[in-house]
Amino acid sequence: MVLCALLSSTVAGSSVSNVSVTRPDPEFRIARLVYNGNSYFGGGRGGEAWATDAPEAEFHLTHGIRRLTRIDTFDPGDKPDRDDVELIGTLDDNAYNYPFLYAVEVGRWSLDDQEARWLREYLDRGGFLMVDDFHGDDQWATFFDSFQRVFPDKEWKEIPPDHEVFHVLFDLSQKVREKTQIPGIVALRSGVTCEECSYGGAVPHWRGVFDGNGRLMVAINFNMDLGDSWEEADTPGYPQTLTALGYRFAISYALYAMTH
Amino acid sequence: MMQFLLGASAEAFRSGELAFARGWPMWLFWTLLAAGLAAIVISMARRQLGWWRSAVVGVLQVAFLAIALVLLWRPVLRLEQIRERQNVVAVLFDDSGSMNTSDSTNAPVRRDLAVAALQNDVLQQIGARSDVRFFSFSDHASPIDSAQDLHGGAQSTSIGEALNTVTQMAASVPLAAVVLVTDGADTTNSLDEAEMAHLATTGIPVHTIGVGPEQPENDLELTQLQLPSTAVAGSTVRATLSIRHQNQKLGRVRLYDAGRLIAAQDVQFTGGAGLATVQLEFPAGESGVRDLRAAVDAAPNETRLGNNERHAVMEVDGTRRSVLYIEGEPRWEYKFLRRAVEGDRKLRLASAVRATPNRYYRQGLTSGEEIEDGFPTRAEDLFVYSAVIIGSLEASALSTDQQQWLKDFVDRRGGSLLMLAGRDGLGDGGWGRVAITPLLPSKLPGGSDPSYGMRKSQASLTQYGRESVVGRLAADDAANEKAWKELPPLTDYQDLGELRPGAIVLLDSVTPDGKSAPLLVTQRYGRGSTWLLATASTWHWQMSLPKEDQRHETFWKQLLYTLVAPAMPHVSLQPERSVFEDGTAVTLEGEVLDKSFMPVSQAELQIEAKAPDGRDVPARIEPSGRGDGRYTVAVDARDPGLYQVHLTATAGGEKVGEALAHVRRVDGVLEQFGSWQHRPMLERIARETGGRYWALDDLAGLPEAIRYSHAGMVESSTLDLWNAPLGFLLLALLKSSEWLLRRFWRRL
Repeated sequence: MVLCALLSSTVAGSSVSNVSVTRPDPEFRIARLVYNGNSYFGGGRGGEAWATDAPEAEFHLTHGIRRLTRIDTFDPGDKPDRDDVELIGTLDDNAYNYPFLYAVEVGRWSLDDQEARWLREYLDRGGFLMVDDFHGDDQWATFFDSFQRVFPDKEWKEIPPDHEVFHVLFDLSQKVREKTQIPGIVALRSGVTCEECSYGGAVPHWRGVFDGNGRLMVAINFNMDLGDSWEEADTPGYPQTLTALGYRFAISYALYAMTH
Repeated sequence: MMQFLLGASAEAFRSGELAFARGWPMWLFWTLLAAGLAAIVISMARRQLGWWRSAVVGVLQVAFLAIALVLLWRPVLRLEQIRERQNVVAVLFDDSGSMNTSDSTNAPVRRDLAVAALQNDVLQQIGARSDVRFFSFSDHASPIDSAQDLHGGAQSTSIGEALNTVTQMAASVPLAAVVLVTDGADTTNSLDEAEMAHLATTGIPVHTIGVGPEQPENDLELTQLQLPSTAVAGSTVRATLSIRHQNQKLGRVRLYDAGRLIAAQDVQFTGGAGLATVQLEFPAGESGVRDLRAAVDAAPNETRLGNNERHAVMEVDGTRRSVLYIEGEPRWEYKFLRRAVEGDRKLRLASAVRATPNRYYRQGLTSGEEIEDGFPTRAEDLFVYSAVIIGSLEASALSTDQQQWLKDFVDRRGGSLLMLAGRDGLGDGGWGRVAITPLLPSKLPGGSDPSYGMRKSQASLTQYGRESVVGRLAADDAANEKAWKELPPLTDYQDLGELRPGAIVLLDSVTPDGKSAPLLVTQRYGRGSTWLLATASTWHWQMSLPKEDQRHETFWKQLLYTLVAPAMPHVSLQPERSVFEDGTAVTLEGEVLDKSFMPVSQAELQIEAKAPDGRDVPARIEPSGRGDGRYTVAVDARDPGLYQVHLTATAGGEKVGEALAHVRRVDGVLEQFGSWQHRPMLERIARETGGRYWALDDLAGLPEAIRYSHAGMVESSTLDLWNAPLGFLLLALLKSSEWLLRRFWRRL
């Protein structure tokens, strides 16, 4: 009987050919985290703070990733649209199909205990979270309130300029050392690069949370607005050098997430 | 009765030749018989008996006529029989350990049973006509004065050697027959085809007397313990145990390392007597020697316990093995594969992922120069690794030389090559048309349609997969099946094309509607092996399961450990077997290979062997003479215990490498195993030599069979059969039957 089974397993294999498959899905997509938050205008979806810069940010960044790397991602086409954005709600198991999450304006997010546990599980399984576009001490405090729920046992740390993530492809160490701030478009139009400048928002920080093996699992871009650097890539007033730098940071995070 | 009716014994008829002594021609016999038949037919036709009565009477009359004619022709039996008191009959008693055992509680040992059966008139009858000489044998035969001189308990049995020794006597004395008294457990396998053919040519009949039960009752025997001779430290090792059982239902096997229990498993025996196979997995552990002992628990009231255990020795190589992984594009599979084996102290995953069209991002390196261009640029740099993984990378990314090195890596170096599915992997990457194509376990499709794409499926174990360490996610079989069934589905698949005849499928990809296709396939090639994994979405097993779940890590670790296991070292030392039972000669094979894994036949070798007590023992090493870099090592291992053998090789004043091996010598083992009566072999010895097989309780015909032997000093005789009572009785019976029938029919 065992022999028969052995034979049948081999024969079954040998007879298979031309298995039908459908076109491969893109390997990489930025999944945007849809969170509940503390809005300046009240509760609920945080005044859709999570939706800031969408879909233009994803549209431009995806084109950049396609142009500059061999990461297989989707073709966003000629103009930004809703399909360029992959939304992942908190507690959504679909997140496990997207090991790279992007959360914007996390100075307004508010995660309850269940959502915090869900996010921690996602990260512990090997997911990566990039947070961006929050400024000043107040927004940090709001961010930190939920952060503590996610990481009751961990602390954030400044990512050293010579860390792997800053030269996984591009050498960004010098920019980190120089504290090159990537500004939001509103700040730029006001003639500065910072928001909440007098309340702790003047200096950019690249912070992170590391797992037990020293791998970066959360990249915290504090006092900077990477999202605007992508979104405003075709805005004449936004400096091309800063757009390029914003692309480079995002690509570095993505490559790091896909290799560590 | 037969002697009375026919005037000769059955043995006489068996060995003699029937003939007619009258000298009248046979045509006359047939003519008279035909004439008589015709007369009887005519006679019957004239009588008014009816057809069926005529037929009965006719048959009786024809039979009468035929017998009468036969008797007139004077039948005789031409015989050759040994001359009285002028021949020798050799009686060989098996005096090995297996004959010293009892087959049931309070029963005499086999040797005593055999002696008693022979001394019950049988030897006396043989001795009446011949000079009986006794021999005892185990690994050799030696003469004894009588059966009382048997001691029993010798450690091995060499039936071929014993028969050879005794039949050589025929050159100096008239040897009429050999009587072999044994259970047939030839522990040294001395009776091979050549020896059997030689025996047959001597012309001396060997009469075999089978001792002991043909199927031992209430005995469990661990007939075989199979293990790899070497294992990689940190890997999982599978031991295969073969257990011969009778009517037991349950058993338990245990595995000990230097007396410490390291694995155990219950066994269910089915189908009455038979052979059960048990797979037992255990961690190889750290570098060093594993001095293993496997044992099956004794059955209730089991008396023969010496065959319930077996020894084995396994070397665990603590060298950290390196695996090269080259990936053509950043992929989640790459990330999670790296994470699965990261931190493993015995595996190093050096990897290069092509991050941009012109740049590889490298990880797990030992130096900045390692795989600087994504793939080694010299063959010896590639041969540093034990396994190579190629991901979604087109074949053209490697030069022709690099592809040839890959082929040599598998074929000569004994490395393993694993290829993963991907947009630029396998058939879509052109790997079906390059130097390594013949090595792969399938003919990769090479058409214009992409073979890689999305296909939701479940990974499913094949029978080979169940029996492989790679397919083991849980220790218990049922739990293992469940562990595979409950894995998250795979999302992609790549068509592997037609599998080659030698391919082994370990995993299938089964779609929700039941369509199956090979998922993990392997085949041996040269000294190494090639593997194909038709998916790049095993990372879902990590992301879609709770963080505590280790199935993804376990799968990849076990697969990588399996991949690195066959890789050859530059200097190796392999014992012929890890345990040498009841013999003092221990042999090993050494092999010396240079940096390119080409044989070094002129190496300067230093061999050292140490006995269990640490003292040096004689060892010698000789080249095979075939220029293949192989050497034969012989160690004089007289005492039982664990021996250590160390080989150092230098060539051109430079050290090539060294190897260490351990072997165990055990005594008193062989006779414990396979000690039931091997009747088929005994029957064959008898058949090939012109003797007969005899059961111990039916030896009455043996003296008569020896009497009519064709060997030794024989004399011819003719025995008249015409005057035997049987012929006259038959004639009378036929005539009286006819008379009675006619009377009954009232047709007198």
